[in-house]
Amino acid sequence: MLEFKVTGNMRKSLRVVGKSRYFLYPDPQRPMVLNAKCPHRGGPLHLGTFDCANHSITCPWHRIKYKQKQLERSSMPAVRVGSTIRAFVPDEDGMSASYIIS
Amino acid sequence: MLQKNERAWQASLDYNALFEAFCNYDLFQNGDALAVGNPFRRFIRPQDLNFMLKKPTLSRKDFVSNAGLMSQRILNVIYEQDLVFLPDDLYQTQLKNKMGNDQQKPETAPQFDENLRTDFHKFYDPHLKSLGSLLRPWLETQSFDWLNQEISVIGNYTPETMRDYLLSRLEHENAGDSALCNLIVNAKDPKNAAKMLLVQFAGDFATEASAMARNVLGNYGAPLSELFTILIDEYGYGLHERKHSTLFDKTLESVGMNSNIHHYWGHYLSSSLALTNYFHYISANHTLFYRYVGAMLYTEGTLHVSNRRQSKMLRSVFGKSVHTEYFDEHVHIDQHHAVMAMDRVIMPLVKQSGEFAIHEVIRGFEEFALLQSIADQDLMAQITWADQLAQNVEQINIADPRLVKGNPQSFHETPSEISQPHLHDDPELFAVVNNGLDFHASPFHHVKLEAGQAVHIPALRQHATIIGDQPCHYQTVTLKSEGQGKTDPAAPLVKTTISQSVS
Repeated sequence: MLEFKVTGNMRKSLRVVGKSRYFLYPDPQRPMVLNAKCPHRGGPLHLGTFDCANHSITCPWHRIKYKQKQLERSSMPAVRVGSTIRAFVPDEDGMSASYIIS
Repeated sequence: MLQKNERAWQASLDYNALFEAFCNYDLFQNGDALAVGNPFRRFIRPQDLNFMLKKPTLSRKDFVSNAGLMSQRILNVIYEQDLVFLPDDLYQTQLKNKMGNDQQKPETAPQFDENLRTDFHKFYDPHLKSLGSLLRPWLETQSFDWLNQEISVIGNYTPETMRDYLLSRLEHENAGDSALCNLIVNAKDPKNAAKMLLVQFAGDFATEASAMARNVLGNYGAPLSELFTILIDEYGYGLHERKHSTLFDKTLESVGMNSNIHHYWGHYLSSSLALTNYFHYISANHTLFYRYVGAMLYTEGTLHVSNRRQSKMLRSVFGKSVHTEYFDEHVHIDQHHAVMAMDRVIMPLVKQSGEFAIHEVIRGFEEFALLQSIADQDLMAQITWADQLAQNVEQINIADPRLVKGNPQSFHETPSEISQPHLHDDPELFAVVNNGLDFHASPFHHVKLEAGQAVHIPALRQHATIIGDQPCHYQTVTLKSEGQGKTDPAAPLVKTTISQSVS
């Protein structure tokens, strides 16, 4: 289980589990844990641009914009209690039955 | 957060008048003893009503405040009007005789006398019950709405990922030592510290699984029948001697405590009452049913571990004479109940109900985990303070700068007058000016304070006083905490300075 503190900084929120990287969507009203790999060509989404007004992230490689609603569909299962977010992500082998606890 | 129709409903009611009418029932007046005489008579300190009404929604920080305590006491009364109580002597005597406990046998047969019958009728009075029904949503919002702000369930779950998540959370919750048990074993007076824990249990265990029973009426398929089998175990599968509340009565009696229902009513901490009330809240409101099964999994999945530690702690503190069967029974049966709750209640429910249900199950689990954690911290702070009470009495001069500069409040109370257990949101210095009184930090920790003596009361620590046989004059002055958040139930005893504000 990955633990995050609610933060507005996507870059600093990055966590690495095996070959996968995860980061926190920086809207405190709608926090969610996302895979940092851009679905287009694998760019680093956590280094992208967050547009607070339009609720979107733009990938730094090909400038593809992902709206919050799109991102929600692939967000990892997680729970926020106060300012702590615990996310549940697959382990290195991608087996759904076992999970990393950090 | 209130919805439009809820706001319209609230706007149509005069809550000040309704609460005043409720609090005016003589069942809830302060009474002339610290212990309640029967399960119907429960003081709620009506004099605190204005403080409570000023805070229609409490936060995580202040839900264990004085307003929170009153709210939880009233809620508990309202929920338990749905349960059936009789005066203990009427049936406890029969049971004790059957169990061969002849020492407890009274010389005369118990009677449901006129005074008791009057209280019985008042407690279940349809007008009072209707009043409670009007007030309940307001109180539930006040006491529990903060959980909606505090916890979010995020992301995409399948029933399988939900199951894995909950199992790994249980593993995490069950890991390590119990800080509470360690505190008790290492207290100056471990026996009385352990009794304080039993007092907090008593409010819940006396009616154990009554909230669960609210969820086995109706018809929602096979999970209902599975839940019913858990309920049957809680009720001793029909044998009164095996009913869990009966086993807990034996624990209380084996360490010299009173097993009458709610005998220790005033000494329940608001955080402990909240645990019982939360289960009623999510069981009386069936839109929260999925939260109920999540919270139920938390208790069934952690009790077999916590009760093992508690049983060991009780034997270490009291020796072989303590009756621990209540705890030992849960070590065994709750391992079954956890599997039943997960595989035969929750999984079928979420498979038939979808992602909405998954989010609600996890929310219920996490909400109760948070409440349990706050209750443990709150009790640890109360035990720590009570355990040191005698050592914290200090000699004080009326010219002490803390009193002079602190703008103290003066109280003149009559012989035998009782201030029922209550708390303050800020720390206080409590100083006796004339004659004396008994100052209580628990049913088992009290000191006699004479003129010229004072005691420091940390924020949120529950206390009571009984005036001696002479009128007593005492003063209190509000102190301001340094560093620690004033409403942190886990805050240690902190250094204090004088504040100009007076509560």
